[in-house]
Amino acid sequence: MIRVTNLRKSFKTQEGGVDALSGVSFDVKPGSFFTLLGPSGCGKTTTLRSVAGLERPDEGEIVIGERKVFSSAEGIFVPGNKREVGMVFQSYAIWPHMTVFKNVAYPLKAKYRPRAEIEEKVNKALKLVGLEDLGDRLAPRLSGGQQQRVALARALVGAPNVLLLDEPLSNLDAKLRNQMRWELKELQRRLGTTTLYVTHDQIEALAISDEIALMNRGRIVQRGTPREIYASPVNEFAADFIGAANIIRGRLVGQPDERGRARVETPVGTLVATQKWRGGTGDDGVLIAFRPEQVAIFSQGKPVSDENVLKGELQGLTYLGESAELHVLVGGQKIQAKGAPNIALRRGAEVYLQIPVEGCLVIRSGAV
Amino acid sequence: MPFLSHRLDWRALILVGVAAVVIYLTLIPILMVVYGSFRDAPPGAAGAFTMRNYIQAFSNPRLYRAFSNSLIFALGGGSVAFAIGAFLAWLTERTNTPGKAVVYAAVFIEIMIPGVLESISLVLLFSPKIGLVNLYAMGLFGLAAPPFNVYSMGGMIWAFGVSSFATPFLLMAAAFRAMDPALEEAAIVSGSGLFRTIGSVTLRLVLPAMLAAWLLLFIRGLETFEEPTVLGIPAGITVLATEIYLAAREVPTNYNLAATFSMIYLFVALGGLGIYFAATRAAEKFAVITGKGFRPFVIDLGRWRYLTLAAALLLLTATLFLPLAVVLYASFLPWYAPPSAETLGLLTLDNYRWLLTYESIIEAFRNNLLVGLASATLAVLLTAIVSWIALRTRMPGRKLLDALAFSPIAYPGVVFGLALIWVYLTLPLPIYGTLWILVIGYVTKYMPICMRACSASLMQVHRELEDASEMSGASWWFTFSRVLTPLILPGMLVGWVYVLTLTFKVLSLPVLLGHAGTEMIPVLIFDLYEGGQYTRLNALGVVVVVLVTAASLVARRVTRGFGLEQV
Repeated sequence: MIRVTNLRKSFKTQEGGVDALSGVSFDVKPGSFFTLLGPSGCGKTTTLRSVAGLERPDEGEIVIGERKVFSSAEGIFVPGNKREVGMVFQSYAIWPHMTVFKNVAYPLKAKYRPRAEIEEKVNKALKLVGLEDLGDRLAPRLSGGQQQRVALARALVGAPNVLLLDEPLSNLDAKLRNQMRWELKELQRRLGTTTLYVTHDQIEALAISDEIALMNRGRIVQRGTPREIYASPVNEFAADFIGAANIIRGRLVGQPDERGRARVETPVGTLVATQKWRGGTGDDGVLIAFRPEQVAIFSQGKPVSDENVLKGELQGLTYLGESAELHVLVGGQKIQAKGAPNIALRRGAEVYLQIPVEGCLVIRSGAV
Repeated sequence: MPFLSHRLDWRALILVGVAAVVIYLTLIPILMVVYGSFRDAPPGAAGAFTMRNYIQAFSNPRLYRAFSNSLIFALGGGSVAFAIGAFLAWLTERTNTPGKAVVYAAVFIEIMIPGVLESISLVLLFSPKIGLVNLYAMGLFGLAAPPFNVYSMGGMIWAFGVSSFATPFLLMAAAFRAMDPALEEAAIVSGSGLFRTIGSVTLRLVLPAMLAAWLLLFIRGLETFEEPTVLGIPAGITVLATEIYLAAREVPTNYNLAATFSMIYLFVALGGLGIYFAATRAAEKFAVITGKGFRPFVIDLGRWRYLTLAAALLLLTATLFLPLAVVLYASFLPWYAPPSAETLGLLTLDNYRWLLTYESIIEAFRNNLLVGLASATLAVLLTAIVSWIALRTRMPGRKLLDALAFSPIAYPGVVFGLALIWVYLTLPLPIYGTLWILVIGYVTKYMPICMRACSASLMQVHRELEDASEMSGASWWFTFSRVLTPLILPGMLVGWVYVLTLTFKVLSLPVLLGHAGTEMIPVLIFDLYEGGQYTRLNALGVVVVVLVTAASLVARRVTRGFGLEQV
């Protein structure tokens, strides 16, 4: 439904050109919820604005539906107001001088639709977002969550092929954000509108998306389902950005076996880890990554098996209510582990940790 | 935002059109003045290029006298205005002197009085022959000669000071209000006395704002026309502005010499503006005036606050209330005379009745209203689009366009009037002698004011509000008229009313352009003054002040009524 090919854009600054996008390509399947995820300045918003037509890339091609809306090679640039997409902005961009109804009716008025049609469609859209009683309200007299809904109704009222969302939840408080996330996902599933979503919040991205493209420094680092992105980060950046991760530098020892198990020499000892990519022989510098919640904690006695067992000293314990977070020092390396909240251990106590092989990944070093 | 897609669309057409209009309005007149200063024939007549005008100008001692008079007048007048404004601002903002509202109201009214009326009111008070103050002083103290002569450099300086203190008052009040009181409190806590604190901390901190305000007044002093014309010309004291006026008005008129004087004048004005920009930029480096809202440190004057109140009231009486009172008083008299039991019996509404019946007055009001409304509307629309181009597009040359739209700030009104004469007597356009030449003049001259009002509003409108409109499928014009215009309307309205009121007040621009049938109100006041019809012109002045004040009050109410909580 959306196909972006080799998008490039550089911005001029006082120090010269800075690449905002250096070759971004992806495609979004019809009806799916696709998220561009990354830290600020990674190029996700520039990509979204390029798809919207608010930004003109230097190079590349963008196709929405069957229509080529941008092509540097063919000199095509369809302006944003002709692309027939709906968009929700970070600031909501609700026009303060209009009522809720007029805000939502605006896209239809801009296309000079007949009044009866406007009335019907706006009411439908307001009902969709649960604001049918607030049509006469002036937009600034709404709560953040309500403004968000108005923005959504306005983006959807013209039944666009594609919905673009630029960090729409970032201005809401935590509780409301959670709720809106649910509603948004539910609405999208019901309407089946192809959605391109931008966020820097990895939890949001994991929760809401069918597919995620993780971006850094103007490139896509990794693409996949939320599960793939979380469980199999391809490099240090991906592992570090998505959720908390323990990352240990090491060196491959020999080739991985037929099950993809590789031996890696690290400062905490030799670990057996899963290598999901090919190539890389002995002596290559690699990284070991594993999630704190995958670490098994043995507060009393050693584990039975001694594969990937680390012995360390407890440096600190943070009680988090639903769980407890442990900081354990193993051979000069700090390791985070997450365990049951009722762990009773003192600072300085001896702790055994075991890392399951399938949760322990060999990844390439590097940021992109 | 991409500028110009490959097809030519309305947006591109409007933008290019607006850019062309701005270039035409700002560049052509100045180029014509340059041209005129090198010609040996009046505008529109055949002639040849020559250096004669410059030789004539520079070998004429009048130029040097006018130049030094301009400097003395601007320095003196600027300093008087600054001293009055800054003192009042300090009293109202930083001390607990009562009567704040009176000072603010007085400053508001001050802004509403046409400069020419203000000068004339000083004639009524301080003229050696008819000035009330002189007559009273002579009677009271048995003086043989009148103690004051308003027709002098001192009179001009005083007149400029009392008619211009609103600007330094507002600028300094803002500076005093925006200053972090912690800095002063720190000085007092560390053992510095009150007066030492004022001297070493307060004054030091507001120095950049003081410098900016004073320089602005200096530039205005260079530009101003009313005081030198009403008070200077009768005394034989000319400044650059009046030299141009005389060269273009006195028979035999010499438009070429006027253009040459204009060139010199323009350079002086540009020099002043250059110093202003350099100084304010340097001042920003040690700016302590932040945008944060502070509760300023207010000095408790104790019982002294009644003394400062008396000082403020005395100052306002001398600078504002007395001139206003004499205007009001004279407007009810059949002929001008000092108040006595006899004159009180003569009070009449005849002058006001005369206003309603005299054809020229009604015509001038109609002209002024028409020209004012058209100029204000066009100026605001034009600058709204120009500031949008400057702030929101990446159109090549947008910075230049911004600078051009701002450039008329450097053109003194008389120079601009003369420039328009040159343009429309040379170009084969049927504009000279019509109201259009006035509209063109006002639109151009007041573009900078509207630019400020519009771009300040535009900067507050979040970019995404426009993007959202584009994503809704709206065309550029639809966005501009349905989203942008309503959002920057308060700013536009402020600029609009200001320009409208200026057309009723400022003499310098229309004085050279007014013809029989296209006269503006300020020109009419000046004509009545020259014809000696003091009582009638005062009635006209009262009506103008009342109308202008009412319009400004309505505008304030309306802009406040917008109440945009979230823009």
